[in-house]
Amino acid sequence: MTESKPAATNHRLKHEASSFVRNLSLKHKLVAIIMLTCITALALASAVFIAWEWTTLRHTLVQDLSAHGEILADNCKAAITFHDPADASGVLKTAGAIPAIVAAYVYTQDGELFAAYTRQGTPAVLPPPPRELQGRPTFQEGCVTLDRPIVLDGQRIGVIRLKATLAPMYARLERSIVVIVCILLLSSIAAYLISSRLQQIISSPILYLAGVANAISEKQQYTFRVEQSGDDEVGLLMRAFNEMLGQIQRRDARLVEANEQLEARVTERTVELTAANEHLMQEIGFRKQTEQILVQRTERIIDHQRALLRLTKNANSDLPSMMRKTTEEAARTLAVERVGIWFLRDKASELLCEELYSLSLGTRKSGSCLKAVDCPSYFEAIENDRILAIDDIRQDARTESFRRSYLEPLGITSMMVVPIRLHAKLLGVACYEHIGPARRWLPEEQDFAASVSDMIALQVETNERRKLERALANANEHLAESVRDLRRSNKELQDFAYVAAHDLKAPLRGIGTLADWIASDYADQFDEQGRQQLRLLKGRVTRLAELINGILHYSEIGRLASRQETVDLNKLVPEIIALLDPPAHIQVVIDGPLPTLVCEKVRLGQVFHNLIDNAIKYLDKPQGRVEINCTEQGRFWEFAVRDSGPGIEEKYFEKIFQMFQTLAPRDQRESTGIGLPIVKKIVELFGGKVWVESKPGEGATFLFTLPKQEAVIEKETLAVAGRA
Amino acid sequence: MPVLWMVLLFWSYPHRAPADEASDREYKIKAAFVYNFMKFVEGGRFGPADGKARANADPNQTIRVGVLGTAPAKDAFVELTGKLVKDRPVRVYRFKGLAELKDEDGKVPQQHPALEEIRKCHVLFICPSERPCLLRILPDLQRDGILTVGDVPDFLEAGGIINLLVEDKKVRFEINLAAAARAKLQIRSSLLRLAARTVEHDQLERQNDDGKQTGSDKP
Repeated sequence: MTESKPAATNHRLKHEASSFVRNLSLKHKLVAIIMLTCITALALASAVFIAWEWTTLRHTLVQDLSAHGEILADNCKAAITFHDPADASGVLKTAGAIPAIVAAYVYTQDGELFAAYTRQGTPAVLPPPPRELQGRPTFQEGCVTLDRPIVLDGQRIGVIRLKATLAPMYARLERSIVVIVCILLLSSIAAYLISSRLQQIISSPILYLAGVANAISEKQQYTFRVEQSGDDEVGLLMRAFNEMLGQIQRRDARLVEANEQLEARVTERTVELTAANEHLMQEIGFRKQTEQILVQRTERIIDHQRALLRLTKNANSDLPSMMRKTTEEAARTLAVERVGIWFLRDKASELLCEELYSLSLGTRKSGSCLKAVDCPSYFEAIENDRILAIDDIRQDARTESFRRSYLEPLGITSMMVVPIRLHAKLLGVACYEHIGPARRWLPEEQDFAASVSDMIALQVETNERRKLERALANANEHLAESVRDLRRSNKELQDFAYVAAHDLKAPLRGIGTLADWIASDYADQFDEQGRQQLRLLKGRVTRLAELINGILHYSEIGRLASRQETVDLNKLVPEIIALLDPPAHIQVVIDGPLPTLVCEKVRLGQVFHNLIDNAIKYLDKPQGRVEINCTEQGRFWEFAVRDSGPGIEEKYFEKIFQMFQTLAPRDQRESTGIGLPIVKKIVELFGGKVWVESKPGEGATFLFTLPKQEAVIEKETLAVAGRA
Repeated sequence: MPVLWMVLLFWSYPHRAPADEASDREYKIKAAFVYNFMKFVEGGRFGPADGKARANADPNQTIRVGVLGTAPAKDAFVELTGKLVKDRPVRVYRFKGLAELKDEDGKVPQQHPALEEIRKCHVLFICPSERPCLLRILPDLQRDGILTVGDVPDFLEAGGIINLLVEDKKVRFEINLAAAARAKLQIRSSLLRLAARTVEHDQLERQNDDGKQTGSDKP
């Protein structure tokens, strides 16, 4: 900023100066240019002359001094050679004849001062002896000093030094400058006088031209012409100016003409514009009106929305009270005298009035009835149309049938009927009856009425659903109660079975022991038949004991949950086979690898035990075979125990899994009839199912499934889980 | 070399005996004077002083400096040998003096036996020992363009050109212009200005005049 300020000032000054020069009159400009040129040329010449003078003077001085030095040196040779300082001094004194020389010194070759001369009135300062001979003169303190060697026979034997003052030279230079300045002044004056005269040759025609141009532009009179003075450039300019004036004159005339035309056009246009403006104003008025209508309509819609919102709040109340509020609200919102709700009855054969609200009286009534037989066109219309908006009932055919009987006595002039539909099924209608001058039903009013009808339909549906929900809740409660009872009685039964079985065991053991005693103590007193009967007795006792054990087992399933553990069936199943110790003619084979499961080991063992035991027990062939295998069936493992026994008829497939059911006579096979029920119970407890596939005489296959995802976990997964 | 020479001229031989030393110094200065005289003498065998003539001069032609008689300091002149004058080398020749050439009777010979050799010299320094025989030597040499330099008080009167003398313990010289004119030698004004005395007439001139008169009378 500090730098730019002076720069700006400088610029402004420059600008002012240049504008001043521009505004100067032409003749002054000419004089100034000539003067400037003259003075510059003269000043340059003077400067060069003075410089030349100065150089020449100096050169002359030095040359003179050099010549004197040469002479003096020559004259001093012998004095130095023969060592005569007095003679040398005499020689130097001759230098005093030259006014410029103020001092002269002679030095021997060793640099010693040999002889000296100083002009009177100048201080006799001895300069230091010259070490190196300076060929060029040295200028200092208004003096010039020059050293010349003294040479004798080609040998330098000493140095002469001359010192001269420059004062005379300066004086001469001064005189020259004064003269030159005088010449400069005189030349300038002469140049001014000549140029002020001669500039008129160029400036006067131009000034004349300028004056004329100025007069023309002031008076706007293009009829003036310039008098041509010569045939030079100015003359050319004047001719061109005259031509230009002529053109301007013509153009001016044309311009005036065009201006008049333009004004006429403007007037024309103004009229057009005024008309357009009026049209526009009309349009604006119309638009404003439309806008007002729109605003009213919007307000109405907002009103309707508010009313609907209020109605929505009553959605939880029951149907009659809802209908009451709805009719009242609708009548008030639409400003309709009578609003009624009619429902279809008796397979759409008649319409029954459920609610009818009168706005001016504030009263309600119900019970009126309209039969389809009396007015079929009306029924057909409400069945098919969305809304019946009747602006004037006198011109409508659909209400013709009850116009005289119903509408006209009440003074109804306009009417809107909106069907109430639920899932496209007609439930009834909402009826808006207007009294007074005929009225046009607006689209938004129709929309509102449709919304009201929808709400009523929704309310009807809600009511229906509520009724159903209540019934369902009742049924559920009944069911829960039954389940509770059933569970209780089941539990009691189980407990009873357990307790009974348990309590039966002790007397049974007593009977068995007594039978043994009798057999051993009275063996000799019994005949063969008696002993046979005793054996039978013991057999029955054993069977009963097994039966009781089976029942105990069965009832324990589900009572106590034992530990979940990883069970490798490839180990467990061979152990079970070994425990059963099958007779020699029966071969038990595991076909393929078996999976590893996580479950209650004892119970899973029980399943395999019972199935394999059954297969062995019922095998009646001389050579038998039992096969065990496992396949993957989706989310389940499917196990199969296949025997080559007698097979089972299909009608027994269900029965064999029921308690105490055996197919063979009890006496033939020591069977309790409780093995398969236990299997079924365990498998179902594990989330699987059990069934049998068989044909009589072709053996039987017992199959059961166990779910993979819970009970079956691969060893790897277990390991990973353990680590985590 | 001249610088060294000047230095030697003023400050040498401090160990010598005072008398000897003074004599040595004096003769060294005198030898130097003789050498320098040659630079201020023109004409005759020295040729004109201007540069053209010098350029034409034979650089191999030596400047002969003759020493006649016995110098008090013998070596002072020998040192001049090898120096240059006007680009020509200087050579010093010694000649026995007439005083030394006395015969058994004590008679001095009328003419120097080596006169022709002596006449070839440019400069001839005549030692003080020859003082008695000056009038026998100088007339024979007066027109031969030889610059004769002497060291005795009445040398100029006897027809010598330059005589050296000691004044206020300073070596100075005097010049016989008549003798110089006879020898066709021009002595530079600057040298003349320094001379303690200049003589325009001498004995020989008178003798010659007499001789001329007698000569003219004779035939």
